[in-house]
Amino acid sequence: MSNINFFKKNKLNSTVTPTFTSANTALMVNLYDNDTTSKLISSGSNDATPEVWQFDFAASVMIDAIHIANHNIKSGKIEYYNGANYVDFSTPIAWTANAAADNYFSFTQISTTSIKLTMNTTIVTNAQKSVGELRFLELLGTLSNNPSKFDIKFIEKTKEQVLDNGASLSVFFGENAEIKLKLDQCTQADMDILRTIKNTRASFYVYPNGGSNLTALQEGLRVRDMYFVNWTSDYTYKLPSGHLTGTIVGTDLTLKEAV
Amino acid sequence: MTTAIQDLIRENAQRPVRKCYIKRKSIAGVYETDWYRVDIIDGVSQVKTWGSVSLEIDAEQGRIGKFSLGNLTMAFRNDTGAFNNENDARSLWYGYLNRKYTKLKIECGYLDEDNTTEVGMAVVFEGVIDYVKTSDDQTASVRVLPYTSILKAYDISDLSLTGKKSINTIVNAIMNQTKITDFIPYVASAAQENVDITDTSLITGNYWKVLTDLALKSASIPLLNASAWTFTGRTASVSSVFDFEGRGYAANSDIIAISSYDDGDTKTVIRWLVTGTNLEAITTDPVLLLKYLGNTETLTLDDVDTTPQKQGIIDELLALWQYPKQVIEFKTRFFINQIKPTDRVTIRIKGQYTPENTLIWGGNAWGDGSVWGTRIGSIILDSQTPFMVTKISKNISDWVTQITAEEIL
Repeated sequence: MSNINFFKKNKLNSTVTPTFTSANTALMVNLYDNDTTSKLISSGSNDATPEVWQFDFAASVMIDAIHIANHNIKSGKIEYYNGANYVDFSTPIAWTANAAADNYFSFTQISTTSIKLTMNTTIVTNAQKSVGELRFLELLGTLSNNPSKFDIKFIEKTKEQVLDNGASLSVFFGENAEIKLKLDQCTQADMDILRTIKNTRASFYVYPNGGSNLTALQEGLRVRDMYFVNWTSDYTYKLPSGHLTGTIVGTDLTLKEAV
Repeated sequence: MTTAIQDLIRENAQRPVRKCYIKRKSIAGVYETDWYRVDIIDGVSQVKTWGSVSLEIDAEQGRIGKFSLGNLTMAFRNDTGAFNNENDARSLWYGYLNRKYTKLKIECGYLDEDNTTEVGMAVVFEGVIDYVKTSDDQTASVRVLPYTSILKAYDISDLSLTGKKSINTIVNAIMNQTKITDFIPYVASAAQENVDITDTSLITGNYWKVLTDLALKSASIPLLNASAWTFTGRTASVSSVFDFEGRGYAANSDIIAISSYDDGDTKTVIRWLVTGTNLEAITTDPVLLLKYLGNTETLTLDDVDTTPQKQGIIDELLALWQYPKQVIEFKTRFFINQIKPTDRVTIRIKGQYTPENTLIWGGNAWGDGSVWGTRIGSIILDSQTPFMVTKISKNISDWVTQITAEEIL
């Protein structure tokens, strides 16, 4: 399968009820603010004291994947509530000697009202447990082939002033990613996925890494890099030259970060 | 102002922090306890424009001490219907009373060098929603009135004042009511000239009009900064809140541009009269009489109790306004809420020497071979000239501040 995945918006949001061992529940927003640098951090925890974060949804949610970014968990697990108990996903999520700060987990889709994250030890011994971003995701679709072109730029919103001595005063309000994909090998199934996404007229997550490429270093393609975007270009496709019908078409997407 | 905040304000690569909150009213009309953040909801930014707000003393031409606090208009995305009325199930107000009179506040600050810590977070504006206009371009325009609008909503007659009362007593009677302290925490009045109003039953107008009238009669300022209230004399703070360094004095200038400069004639008043009396306060400086003959202001002080009190008011006003004061308006960095009207600041701006590499007259001994040059530039403030801020406009969208200040003599 190709890399790129598309997901609906995060099931973790302000409607979720948190129960945390020590972390401040009022700061749960740090987990879903689409900013991996703002973290939720335990208080008074260490490697002998597990930190457990339980998330109770207002109603049942469908989840196919979990993305957890900028964390420091060395050992721990994530489970879901099956109506009776907290159990493992079809592919259990368990860290035993983890050294990675970002993880992506996919599994057989489940429906649940609660998810529990248990953090036992940290990568640096006895540190406070911390997580920058936590996403509970429902899959919209995975493309069957890689794009032939992936262009990403980070557009800054900056206000420039010139001081009376000629010096520059630059005020940086933020930056947002713009991703342009050129897809030359789209099957009908791919086009159905893209048409569904376009028809919902809603923002969605694009995950260029797809979760399987653990060594990618370029920003935009790392395990950490998942973007909440709007599809701003038109829905369109092209048949291969010389064909009126065909099973493989090409299309271009412009996606702009919506945070 | 702490060194940490000052350093961040003086950085030439800045990282602002802006947050917007609301407090809605329940169906029973009670404000919710906690502020609810609306500039970002579930990780998605909602604000299209933040707007700007201004505070000014001496806002009315020819009227000393007329405080003015401007409205704020923000624009939010509304493709989700979050800013629609309470009947829309998608609205932030669904399950609440209505949008009008919802409290709204904006907090601002700076991120530190590590981009991790917010420094100097403070309320730069607080008020109540006047209206929300939604449009087909999927935006909601929200007009927010400052809390002076609450003071304009009530008439002085509901206090049933009678008899003689001091200005402080009347001001406190207005401000120390629950319907006011729900918005503006109570701070006791400290009028500059705490004169008596002979018959308070004759006072008319809404609370705000009465407060501004009393301010004029007591040489005071009714100052409302977000929700912070004071009724005190029109005097500058004792020490300088900030020392502005303009062109020529520092490698890192604080001034973006000077919008206007008045070397002092505009506000000079050398003679004050009280209508219906022969009371007068006039300068004794013969040069001022020659320069500003005819610069007279007239006050109506019918309701001030005694002649000595009336004389005291116009004597105080003469002392404030007889000498010309430089007035400067300039655009500068964003000061959050660190500077407000009546704050003392200093400003110095150096003009260019010409020809270059020269010394001004008197700098060296005669005959030492130095070349005597001259200073150019229409606005030169040599020393750290003290000024009092009279107007401040905070442009939260562009992250700049416009300041008007008058010289402190």
